[in-house]
Amino acid sequence: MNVELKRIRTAAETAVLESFLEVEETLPGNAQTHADRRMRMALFEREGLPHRRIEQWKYTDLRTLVREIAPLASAAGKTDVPAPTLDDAHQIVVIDGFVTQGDTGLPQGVTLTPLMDALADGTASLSGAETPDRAIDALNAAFVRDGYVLSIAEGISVETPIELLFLRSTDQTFSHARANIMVGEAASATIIERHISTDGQPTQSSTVSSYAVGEGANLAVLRVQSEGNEAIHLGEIALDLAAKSETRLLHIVAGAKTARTETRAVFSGEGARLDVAGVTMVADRQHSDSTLYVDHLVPHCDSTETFKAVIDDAAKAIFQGKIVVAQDAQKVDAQMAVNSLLLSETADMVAKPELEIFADDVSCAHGATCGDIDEDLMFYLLARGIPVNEARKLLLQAFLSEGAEIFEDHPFEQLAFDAIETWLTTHAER
Amino acid sequence: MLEIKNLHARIAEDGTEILRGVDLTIPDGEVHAIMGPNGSGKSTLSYVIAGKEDYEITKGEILLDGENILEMEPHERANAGLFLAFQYPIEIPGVATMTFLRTALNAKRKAEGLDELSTPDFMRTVKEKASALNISMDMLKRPLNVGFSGGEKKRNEIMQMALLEPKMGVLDETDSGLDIDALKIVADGVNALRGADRSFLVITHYQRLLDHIVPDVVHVLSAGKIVKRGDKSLALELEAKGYADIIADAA
Repeated sequence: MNVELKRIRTAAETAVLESFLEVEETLPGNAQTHADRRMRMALFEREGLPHRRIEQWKYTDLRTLVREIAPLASAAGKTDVPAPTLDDAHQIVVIDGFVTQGDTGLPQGVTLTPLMDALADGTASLSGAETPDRAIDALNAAFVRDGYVLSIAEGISVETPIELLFLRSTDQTFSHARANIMVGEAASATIIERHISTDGQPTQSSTVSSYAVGEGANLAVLRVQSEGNEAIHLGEIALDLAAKSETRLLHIVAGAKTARTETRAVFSGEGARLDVAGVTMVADRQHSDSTLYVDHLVPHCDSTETFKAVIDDAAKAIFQGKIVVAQDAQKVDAQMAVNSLLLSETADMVAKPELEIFADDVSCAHGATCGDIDEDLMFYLLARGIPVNEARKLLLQAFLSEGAEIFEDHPFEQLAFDAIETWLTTHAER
Repeated sequence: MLEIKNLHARIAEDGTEILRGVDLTIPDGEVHAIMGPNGSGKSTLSYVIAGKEDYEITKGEILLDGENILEMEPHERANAGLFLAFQYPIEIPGVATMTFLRTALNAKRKAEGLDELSTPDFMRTVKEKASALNISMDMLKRPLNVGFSGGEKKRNEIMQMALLEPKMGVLDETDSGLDIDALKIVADGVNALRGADRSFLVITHYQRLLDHIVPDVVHVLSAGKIVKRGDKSLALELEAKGYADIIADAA
């Protein structure tokens, strides 16, 4: 059959298109920005929300998962701003897509430019690939109103961590935020990206954080997403890795109703290294999708990808990891591992590691395991008098903590342990 | 006192019968040894006592100081005073040895209605028990049993036993994989724990261990039953003649 089925637009898709027509003229940016926004929305008009027939979205069908779109956020709503995760951290606060606390007290060599200024003078752009799999970036680009460009100047080593806090208030809105982080040549920075919403609030959000890691620069990122059981979270982390740069990214997911975060890393200069790890902890009916693309475009780069998940109740976790090694990218070493523990009969895990290698002198591997808590380990602990709940917690802690290994002896290691401990404790008490 | 009465057990998964009526009584303060050929059910007996789920008890009972432990969960048995030194101690990456020891010790104290031990008190106790077994602080800093040699793992088992001070210690082939020096250290560790209100069940293939941990009674287990009992000289006899004669006599 060669009949093209006419796609019926869902209520959510119609709402997105209508709200774009309504607000487009009021959105910031120069003529190019507006052209880009319209271009991104034209793709949405054609393709709609990504659905299971798009290969990269097979397991996260937003057409069925997102039935209703909340009204677009027009201002920052009310919410309490939590203290920084690390006491001495500088906090940049975004509430419902609006920057509410900016550049006060930023360290020497660090500058913060509002996104609207950067869009007006062309230093930030909303253009992007016009393929249906880039739905998060496209949706965000079409609607984003506020955000910032954070620049760490060449050669500057920022000792204190910078916390990029993204809060969703109790207003039930759809909000969009964008942060471009530029780590200059031979600079170094420690960033905490924190996404929080109040439990029980059906907030919807998209966030694109784009890190450009300069030549010889060093970047450590801890991304923590801990949202309520009604929240919808769409995230993208873009990483551009210049020559001889070193980047570590740990992404901790402690729930949302529906979450999809895409990490898109591109090696653009030789001799760079990337260690990316994920720790996902989901329960109830939560759905959490971590999708990772690592493009080795150039030779002599190493990457490790480590993903750990614990899934309970009727929750579902997805890991898609695709490593592409271009034909010229010889002497690349890439190691990907995904391990998950299913704690109930109805828990669900999808692991899809992929390697696409065009070069012939590379070392690449991937592996996936999926199972229950090892009974022999459990029995050993029980035989020492440790009660079942405590033994389970110890073993889950041990399993998940391995995800934090890329930050061994770094302050982020303890933060990761704390986040794991918090989830396990609150989860066990339910 | 541990009393095992007419104990029958089979593998839960396939129903294979392993224990076919074991009778055994170990009074307080005594050390009993169980010897027997491969496949006679020695390790099964130790697992059944500790409460491993893989086995199904079809008949009989096990009483610890008069209480039927078959109705207890494994951790309850441990906190009632039972300790199994594993033949193959498990490696648990990611669980720090100290965290594990502390959790186990506090679980026991809690079961006894005692407060948790303070950090300095806990550290002092562990250091003391560890040094007696030649276990360095460096080993204790590692994840549980990870990167330990066979001998180190066995010493770690005995150290845990010393820390948890059980009423009844079951040692499942604690001598396997030990060289002479390590065997001596382990045996000294066990002997140091011997006392009027603590008893031991020592499971072994070889008489060698019993030179160091001298038993009050030696039992021979064959095809899931105790077929002969004797004093320590029975172990020497077995070493000299093998199991064949005794098993044939019993049949």
